[in-house]
Amino acid sequence: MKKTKFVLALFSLPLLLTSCGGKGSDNPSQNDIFTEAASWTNAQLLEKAKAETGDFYAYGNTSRIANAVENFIAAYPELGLDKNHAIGTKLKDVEIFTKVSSEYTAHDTSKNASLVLIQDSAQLNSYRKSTSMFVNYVNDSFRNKVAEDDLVPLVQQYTNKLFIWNNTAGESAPAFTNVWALTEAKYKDKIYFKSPDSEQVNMNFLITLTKDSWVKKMEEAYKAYYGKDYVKSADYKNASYEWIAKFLKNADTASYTSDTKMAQGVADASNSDKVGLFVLSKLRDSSVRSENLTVGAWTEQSITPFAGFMYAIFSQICAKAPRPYTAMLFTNYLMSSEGFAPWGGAIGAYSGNQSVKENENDKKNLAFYKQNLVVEDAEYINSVKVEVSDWLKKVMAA
Amino acid sequence: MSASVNASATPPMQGPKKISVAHRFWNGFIRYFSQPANIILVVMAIFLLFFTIYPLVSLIRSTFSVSIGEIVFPGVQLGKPTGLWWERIFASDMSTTLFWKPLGNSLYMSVLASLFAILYGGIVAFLITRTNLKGKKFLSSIFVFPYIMPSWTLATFWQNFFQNPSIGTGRGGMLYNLFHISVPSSMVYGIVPCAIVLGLHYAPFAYILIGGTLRNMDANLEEAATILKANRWKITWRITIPIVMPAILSTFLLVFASSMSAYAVPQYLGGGQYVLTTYMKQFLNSGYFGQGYIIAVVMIFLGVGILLANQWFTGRRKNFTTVSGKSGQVSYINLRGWKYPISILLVLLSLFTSVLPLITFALESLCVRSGDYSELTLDYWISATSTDAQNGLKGIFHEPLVWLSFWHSLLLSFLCALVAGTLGILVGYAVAKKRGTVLANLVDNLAFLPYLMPSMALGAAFLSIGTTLGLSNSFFLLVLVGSIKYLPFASRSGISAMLQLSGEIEESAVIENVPWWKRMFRIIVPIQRTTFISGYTLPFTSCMRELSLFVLLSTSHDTRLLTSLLDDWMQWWPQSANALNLLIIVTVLVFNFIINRLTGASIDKGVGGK
Repeated sequence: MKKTKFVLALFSLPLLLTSCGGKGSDNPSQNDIFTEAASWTNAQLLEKAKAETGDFYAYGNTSRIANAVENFIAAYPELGLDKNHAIGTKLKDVEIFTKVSSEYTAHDTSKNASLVLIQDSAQLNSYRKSTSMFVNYVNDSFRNKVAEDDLVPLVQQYTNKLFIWNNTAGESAPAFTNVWALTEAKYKDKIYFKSPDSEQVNMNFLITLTKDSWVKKMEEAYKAYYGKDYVKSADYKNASYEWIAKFLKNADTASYTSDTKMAQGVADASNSDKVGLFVLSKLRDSSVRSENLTVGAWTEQSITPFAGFMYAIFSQICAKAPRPYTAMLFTNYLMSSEGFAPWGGAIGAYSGNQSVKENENDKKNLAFYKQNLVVEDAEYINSVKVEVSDWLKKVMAA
Repeated sequence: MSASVNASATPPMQGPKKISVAHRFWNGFIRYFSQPANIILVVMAIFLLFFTIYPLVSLIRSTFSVSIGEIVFPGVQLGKPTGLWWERIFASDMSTTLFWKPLGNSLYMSVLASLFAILYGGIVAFLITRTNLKGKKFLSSIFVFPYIMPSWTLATFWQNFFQNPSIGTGRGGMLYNLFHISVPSSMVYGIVPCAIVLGLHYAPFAYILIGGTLRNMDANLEEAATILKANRWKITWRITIPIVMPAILSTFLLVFASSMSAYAVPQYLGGGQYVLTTYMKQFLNSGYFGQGYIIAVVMIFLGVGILLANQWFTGRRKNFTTVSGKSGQVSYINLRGWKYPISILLVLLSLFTSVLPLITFALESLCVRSGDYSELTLDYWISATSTDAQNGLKGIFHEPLVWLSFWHSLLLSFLCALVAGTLGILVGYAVAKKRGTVLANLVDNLAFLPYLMPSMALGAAFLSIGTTLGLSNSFFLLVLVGSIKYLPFASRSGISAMLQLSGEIEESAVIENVPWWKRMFRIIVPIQRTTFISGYTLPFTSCMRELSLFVLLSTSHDTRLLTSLLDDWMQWWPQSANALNLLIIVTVLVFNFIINRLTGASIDKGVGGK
């Protein structure tokens, strides 16, 4: 009998490859508990979580998920979890989706992840629409502290990438106040930007920039920079397309494959004429000479019409979580000041919970960045992703 | 009728008893399975058919299906079959960008890397095994270092060494800072530098495989030629090179397939030039599995093409016996006055590609600021509290996760090497014994197939297998996938070793009724020990630095690996990452040293450094 089961399992493998795609296979009783527990206090959740058994796994597209899980089990010793049985693992988004898809079809769910932190809003949007793999859990304790737009899917935090330049040349520093300046010949090979082909959030930024509202802003910025109206040429679909093509032509997207190294490199005295578009949080790193860097968004005039871009990290509970109550308690913890500590200790990370105090070394706040940066729009990205990314590939390969 | 008449008329003759078909079949079955080679072939065929064909079928299926990440494409429906991915790759206005141009770059890079590796590794192997070169032991020890390092670390070294302020990162590299020499951008970034770095990384393949054959070569052949007054050049051209030709072809096959699937080197040094893996990785990262796997399938078919060409070539020859048990003498070519200059040149080259990178990793792990050697600290190694990098990490010696991952990586590499190495010897024995049969060819090819599969795709297939069989997050699954992925190394060296071995050696023991296991342990393994051991050491080394294969399978506490940490840290915390990288390299070197002490063989010494 066992042998028969084994053989059946082997032959059913190919079917499982695509079987995670169907929507509506969610266990209704499992969904009910999330709805019911939305109004529970931490104490109530803790009581239920204590009764859960097995390991607690969380995957996240951020290294600090490991610290967050460690802090969580230290904050709730009653859970009886130690660092051998509660693990936060850093994975890329595609790895998280692949893992959770596979775990969703597993008969034995005891080794599944219970919670994930995902960065790629567009792919998450597709998964949320097409499957029941993820549950969006919002507890009443923080519901009113999170912006309406950030509730579904729940934004655990925002991260920003800003235009930052080397200031060691003083007056001759490559400062600018309008992004159209970056399309000028004088910036040729002077801009560092990680290839959108290898960095999904960079691709998402460029795609979002082609949205009508941003096209309008780019036309206005064009007029402000050149003193004349933008006239559409035959080569480009609109002002955003033109800016992107010319920006990429001037940018070096190949030399740096890590934001840390880019920050270190741009800060180097030999790069006195260089600009980078990288994560602000790099300035916290002792290996980066932050005194050699100027953040465009922090200058008096800032940059028109955007000083960089911003993307969210979303918290989702896995529908087949072996420890759903622990995952809900962990969500509450992540949305608290204490739970945000692994990220909030430095600039460049902003909790989705607006009541969590922002880092005092950051010269601007989340509200400013939401206004002055290109914020990812998952719905829009998915609607034009193929068209824009195909065009981008041709531009970059040319 | 006549038969019955005859039967009654004359007494029946006592002829041989008629054997039923079933009995005949049973006898044939027993006879067939009384030969160990046949048992090995049948068992391995079943094992490999499932664990290699299933991932391949999954891969091909994915190229016709729509995954969740792909629903953004117009005209497709989740779960419904589609031919759109094939059309996009081969017959759309994106084909040139997504496929044909990167294919051209990949082929150019891989052929160049293979030729470079064969020339560099082969010449060094020849000089060490067949000449009176000086410093053989030292050269032999350090020549394999580049293979021990992950290829991308060699790429970063190349970049850091040749970089100058007018190109790329805009910072001065070692050459510029020390000697103010600025090399052109084309020497640092582009397809040619990628090919050189890959060639350097894989030159030890050529060194091991070609050197192994040269070292085990029967000196009688050369002696005979010398007696017949053939000059040294003629001996080399007409005897030595034909004998090492299978090893050269195997090297070409391994280096070409490895270079085709190399992602990190073109990513670091490509300078914006795209190869097939750039798009494959990008497709997979975007959740466009169909298009990503089409590229993977193309790469597999290219690899299979070379494999078939290799087999066609080796199949033309009866055998390549070089070990007959009749001669142990090796006649060295006298380099005369060139002995020292060549030795010095090789030592310098090897120091540049093998030792200098290690020194830079060590220095980088001590830098407060990357590239600035004026301020150094040991914090990233020994700090018991969080370092100044504000990343929450202590020095790697005090990071519990490092030690846990270290132990797992070590155990995994050891077990994979043990399984793959042993299976490789068995496959080598069986394939060589039954050479030319359908089953032997099947096992030979199946054993090599995992090498041609992109690691990430193989890992994804095993994730699915693990989930179905209840093996998720288990260490066993890591061992299984690692052993299969690295079986080609072991099977290649196993087959290569067995093909060199004259059948007479075992036959004499068979006549004496020596049992199979005794023949293996007492005769075959001792004779070809060094080649077999490279079948263990190569999987160990590769496993220690593998990331893509295991990344989806090593997410639990029990399966944490060093390379996952390294990948994460390299993006954010270079000093700790460099320290970790050095730890991995030193571990492999120590392992190599121990093996060397215990068995007298190792990655490098398999060639003949003694």
